[in-house]
Amino acid sequence: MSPFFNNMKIKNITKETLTVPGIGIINPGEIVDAPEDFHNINFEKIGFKKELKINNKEQ
Amino acid sequence: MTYLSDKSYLALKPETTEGTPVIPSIFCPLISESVKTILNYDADRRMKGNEFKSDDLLKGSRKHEGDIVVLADADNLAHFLNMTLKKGVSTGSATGYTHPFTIGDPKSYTIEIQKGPYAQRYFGVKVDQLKGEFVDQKLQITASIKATGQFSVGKLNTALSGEVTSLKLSHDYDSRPNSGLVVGDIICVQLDNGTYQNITLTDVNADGETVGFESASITAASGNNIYLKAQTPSYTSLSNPLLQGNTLVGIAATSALADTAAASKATATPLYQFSFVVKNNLLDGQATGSQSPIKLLPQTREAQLSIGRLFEDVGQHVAWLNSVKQALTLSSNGDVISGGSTKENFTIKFHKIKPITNDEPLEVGSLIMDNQEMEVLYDTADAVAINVSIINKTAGTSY
Repeated sequence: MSPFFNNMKIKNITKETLTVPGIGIINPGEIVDAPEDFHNINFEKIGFKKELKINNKEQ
Repeated sequence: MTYLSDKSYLALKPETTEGTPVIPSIFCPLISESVKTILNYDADRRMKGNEFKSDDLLKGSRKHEGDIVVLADADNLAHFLNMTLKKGVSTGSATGYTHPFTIGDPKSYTIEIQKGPYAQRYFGVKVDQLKGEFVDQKLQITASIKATGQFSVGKLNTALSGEVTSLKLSHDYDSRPNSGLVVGDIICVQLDNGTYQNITLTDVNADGETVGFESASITAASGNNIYLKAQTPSYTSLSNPLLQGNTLVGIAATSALADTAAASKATATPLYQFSFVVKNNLLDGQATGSQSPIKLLPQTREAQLSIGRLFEDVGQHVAWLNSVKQALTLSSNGDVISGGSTKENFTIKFHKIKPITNDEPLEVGSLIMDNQEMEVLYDTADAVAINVSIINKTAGTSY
């Protein structure tokens, strides 16, 4: 069960094992759940709706 | 809403083309930073019939500069050296890459520093002055950087309503307000209801003001805020900072002898205080074509050392009075690189140094020290002033 209130998953697209605060250790190619606000150039968003999301004020 | 500095990040990446921003992907834990844009505002003193000093401010020469402080490990130190010096050809494998650096034109970087919800991005970044010193054992680097531009926040130039695929940024800050943005960036646009909408950029238009994105329904008035969305940081396996205790310093008449002296604890010179500073003296003057410095050009390079050691003989007093040439090699080992037995290493060689000052102050109850300020000189015999080598787990393609 995802710890986050959405269905967004992210894939580590680098060749490095990466540690993300609040998510944990993610191996190269590994897909994990992520919060809706997640944004990092080292990851590809998977299953993310194309329509643009609206934030609640400034995060 | 409040924001904690500890949740911020420094991200960096070398630029393929100098001054052309990229999205930084290498995250480096910060100690502190003070990088800012200096707009040089002046009161508009034109005579407009008012008896009060001024009714507005006018912008002057714009600069982007400040200090970044980090604890140096073999991986992040190589990036800061890459912004300071010229990197040679990297060799080695995943169990230990060697990266040589010497005096020469450095690479430019794009860096991002998170400030709450937004990312403060600087591009065309080079190090003007790199200082290294051991603070409570750990090698701490203070990189005084300069940049050729920034993007952080802006305003919407024209109102948006319904399905749109582009927007224009206002010109209040710059005549080319989309400078610094990159395809793939997420910008957050303030809607009329006060919330912010994320937009992933698919185009940064050459007109300097328009950015494109996939069709979206947006209702936002002219003047609404826009900001570059901060990334969520991600860290590769961080190496430990380089430590004074794992460092050996050789001081001798020539660089070759200093290398030999630094090779073992028995022949190395224990230093109780050590710091170095390498200066590029970057030219960031104003030129036609940009409101920010159009390029950052290294001018005369220089370096100084500060050394504290026990006074054990008259040697250093003689060296100061008689301007005697010495050479210094510092070699600092870090973690063992995973998958092998090679240790991370930072070696910096100063081929010719001479003391500018040599103080031997007396204090009751204290041992006498030689406290020296050294000027680093170009060694005509070795045809070099400074040589640096880093051994780490990062491939040369990252630099």
